[in-house]
Amino acid sequence: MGRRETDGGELVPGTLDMLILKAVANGSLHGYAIAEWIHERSHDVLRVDEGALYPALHRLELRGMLAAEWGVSENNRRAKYYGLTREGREHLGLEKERWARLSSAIGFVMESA
Amino acid sequence: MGETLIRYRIRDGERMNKQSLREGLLRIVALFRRARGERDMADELAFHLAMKQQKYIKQRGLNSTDAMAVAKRELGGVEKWKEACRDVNRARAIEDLARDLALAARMLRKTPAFTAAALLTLTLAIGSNTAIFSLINAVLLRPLNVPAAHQLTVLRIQPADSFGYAFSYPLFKYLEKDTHVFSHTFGFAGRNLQIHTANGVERIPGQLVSGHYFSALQVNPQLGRYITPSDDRPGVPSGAVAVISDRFWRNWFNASPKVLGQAIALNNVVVTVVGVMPEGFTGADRDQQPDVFVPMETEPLMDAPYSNIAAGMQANWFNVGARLHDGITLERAAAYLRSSSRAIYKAIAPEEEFRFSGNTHAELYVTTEPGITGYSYLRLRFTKPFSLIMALVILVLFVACLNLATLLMARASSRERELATRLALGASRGRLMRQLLTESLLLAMLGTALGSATAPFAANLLTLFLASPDPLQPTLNITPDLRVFAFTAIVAALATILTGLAPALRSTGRNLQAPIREGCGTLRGTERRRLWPNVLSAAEVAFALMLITGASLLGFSLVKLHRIPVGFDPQGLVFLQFDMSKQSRDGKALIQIYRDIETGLAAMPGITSVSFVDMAPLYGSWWTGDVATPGNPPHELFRNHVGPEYFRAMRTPLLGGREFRWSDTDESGRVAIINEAAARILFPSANPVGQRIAFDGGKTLADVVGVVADAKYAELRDSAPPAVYSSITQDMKNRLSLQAIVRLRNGTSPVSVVASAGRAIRKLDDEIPPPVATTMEQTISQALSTERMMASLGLFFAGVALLITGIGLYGTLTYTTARRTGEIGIRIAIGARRGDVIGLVCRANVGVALAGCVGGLLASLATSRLIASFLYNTSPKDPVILGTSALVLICVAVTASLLPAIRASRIDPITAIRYE
Repeated sequence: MGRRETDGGELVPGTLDMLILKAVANGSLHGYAIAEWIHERSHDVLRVDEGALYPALHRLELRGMLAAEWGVSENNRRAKYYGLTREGREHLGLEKERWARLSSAIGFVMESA
Repeated sequence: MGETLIRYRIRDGERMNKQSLREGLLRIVALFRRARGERDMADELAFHLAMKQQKYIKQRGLNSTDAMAVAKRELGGVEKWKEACRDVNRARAIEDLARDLALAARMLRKTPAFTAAALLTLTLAIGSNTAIFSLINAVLLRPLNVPAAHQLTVLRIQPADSFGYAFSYPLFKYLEKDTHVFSHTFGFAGRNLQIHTANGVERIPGQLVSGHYFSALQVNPQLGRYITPSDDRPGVPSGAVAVISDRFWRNWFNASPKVLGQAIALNNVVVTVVGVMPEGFTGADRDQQPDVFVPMETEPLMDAPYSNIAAGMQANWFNVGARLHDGITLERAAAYLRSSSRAIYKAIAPEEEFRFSGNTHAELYVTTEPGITGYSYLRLRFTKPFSLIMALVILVLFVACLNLATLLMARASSRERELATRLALGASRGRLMRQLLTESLLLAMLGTALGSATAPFAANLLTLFLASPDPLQPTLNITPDLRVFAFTAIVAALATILTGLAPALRSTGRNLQAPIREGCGTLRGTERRRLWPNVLSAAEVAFALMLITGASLLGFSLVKLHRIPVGFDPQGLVFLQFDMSKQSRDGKALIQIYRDIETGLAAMPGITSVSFVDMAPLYGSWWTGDVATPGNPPHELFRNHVGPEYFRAMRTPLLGGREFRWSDTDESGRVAIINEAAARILFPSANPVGQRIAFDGGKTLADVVGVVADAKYAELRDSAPPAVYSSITQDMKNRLSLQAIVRLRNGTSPVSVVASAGRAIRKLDDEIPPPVATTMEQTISQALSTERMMASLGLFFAGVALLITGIGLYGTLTYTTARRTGEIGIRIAIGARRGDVIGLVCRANVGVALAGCVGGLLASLATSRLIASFLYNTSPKDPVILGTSALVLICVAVTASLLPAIRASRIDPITAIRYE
């Protein structure tokens, strides 16, 4: 238990922001839920490092991609919810396209004979 | 249409309430507060950890403590996590600042006229504040350059006027012995000494110092030793020693270590150099900076043929200071001296009739004053004037900063649409405010930098006001030190906060989106925020008016002082001060040389008349003595020795009798001339000419041969005192050093006359040093130098304030009028006349100016007591001066407001409405 579970669950560098934006695209979530959401949706493959998650959230908030709001969580605690701004949504769209291009390009390369 | 606009205005006026102001201020506070951010961060972390804990309890069946421990471990350290989050904020803040600065710089560049005006006013305000403070620092605050200067005290005799700082030798000798509260008590007296060189006689600044002087100041010589009590014993003419300054050592001895043991002749006394003081040592009187220190006991030799030491209690001639024992407070020392003074006075002056400044034994006592700055005549003289000037320049600072604040505010409101757009696009309110603050910050920083850069030049200019007429006196050291830098920082902070008021108060507007919806040309946006700009503008006007009234009062007072009739004609009058003390003639021979000098001078072209006087009027020295008519008690009257034809040279009317003549000798019988005031006292009913008066307690009798008109003598501000004149040809004291008074023909330059007089005198006797020349106008101007300094600085700053206020009113009105282009266009379209428009635009500013003037006048009246003591024959509540000042200011305000108003009245309605 002492070691982090790093069985291939590290994120591809530079993709965290995009994943976060995607996570909140359908409604505001708090930080913990964002990490869980990414974990679940990746079929338990991707693990978001908490040490990187929150700085990333704050950075996105300061850049105006996310809007944060304090709310009450499902278990009745004060929690900070992050939601997508218009700017964030635009950015997410661009990132998505870029990622699709990039991943298919990598696929072409890897599958070539 | 016009009515609709007016209705809007009323509604908006109601909306302006206190709450919006408070909210705005709270928001500013939040800007500078990190605490909330930290708390939020901790909350967010706690929530995250709690969720994980829950998950592990559920999934892995851990107890809550273990679950939390695992959660924390996975996080990789709470502090590390927090630091990572903080870094995000910091990086962002730096980025923002850089961007804000760049944007601010761009905005400032885009409006060069605004920026130039803003920087100029700030530079002036901060520069003058720093310059004045540098002077205050140099004259009033800078401690003496000695170890533990706070332990030093200056002794003073009470109750007494300014002479309380001058001690007699017997009193000092008693104080010196007493080491109850002081470790050392020391005396010192400045003397300009003559030193013989290959080129004749030169004068150097020196100081007579008592035996404990150096041990009390605790400064060691860089070479040799200093003067000790064993050097300061009576009757040591052969073994007299001297300690010299670093400067003297370098200039005269080429910094050679062989200087020790060398003999130098000072005032014909041979002394041996035993030590060299380190650089920067000025002694206990910062104003003097002597080159040579000699023991006090050499005074009879240095001052020969006089001796202040021999004069005992009659001569009060030097300053006394002391160093407190460790742990003794100034108050305790003062209390001790007060209790022991009576016994000392009884011991040194047993005669019951002893008086000092009119006080008896029982009333007199010695007290202590803080001596951290040493004894300084400049400090005593300039403490009050400098405080007044400091107050004036602080007013200038207020005016400049408020002006900038209103200008920035007006400009910000003209950028309302830009700001609203950015807000709508998601910029946070905090970001916008920071942006606006950055602009004023940048301005304030640039202004401070420019102001601080110019301050030393300004301060140097100002020292000219303080320059002493004595060329041997050192110039003031105004190099800035920590205190000056600290002061500049405070002024800069004040300037920033005051100018920052603009954007800060601006953000109190509740609804920045409004301008977009409404369009930017309507009244709604303007009127809502009219209150604060108006309050600031009115405050600016009020401060400016305080400055103007203060300066006018000082100016009027100075004019009155200059118009005082002095009783003689100062124009074209030159005084040549001779120093006869060190040449060998005496008595008749000396009178003869004066006569030769007169003949020589009178023959020179450009000189119409020549005479002599012992104590030149208004020069700072005078003489009083008992004068009586036979059989009556004496009166203390002013006395003087004057030469033949003195009153003709002075152009003081001779009312009866005759002037002195060279033929009035001791053998021909003593004669005297009295003035009208003295005649009224001595001979209320009789014609004084031919009467007899007695001096020196009846020992000397003299015939009154003439009566002259009254003339000023000791003090320009006092009325002409009763005076009795004796002839220089009689009762000649030992080697009396007289001043030749020379009246120049109109248009003759004093410089050329002085040069040729010097040559003529050297021909007569090269033992006599060249005379020091002063014109009477210089003397009067010197006597009024403090007043002139205050008045000129006051008027200068008042002019600056007037200019700044004018620019400010003009600028703000230009901005607000530009925003009302559409409205004005509509008004013109529906039939408003040019006059109506001018009135409409001007009205606001005139109201502000009037309100400001009322405030300023009230403030001037409230503070009139503070300035009253600086005024001569001028009431600080003089309605004419106050009224005129207000009128001048209102004229400037109206002129400044008319220009934008006239421009507005020329608006073409079609263009204006299309622009909308």
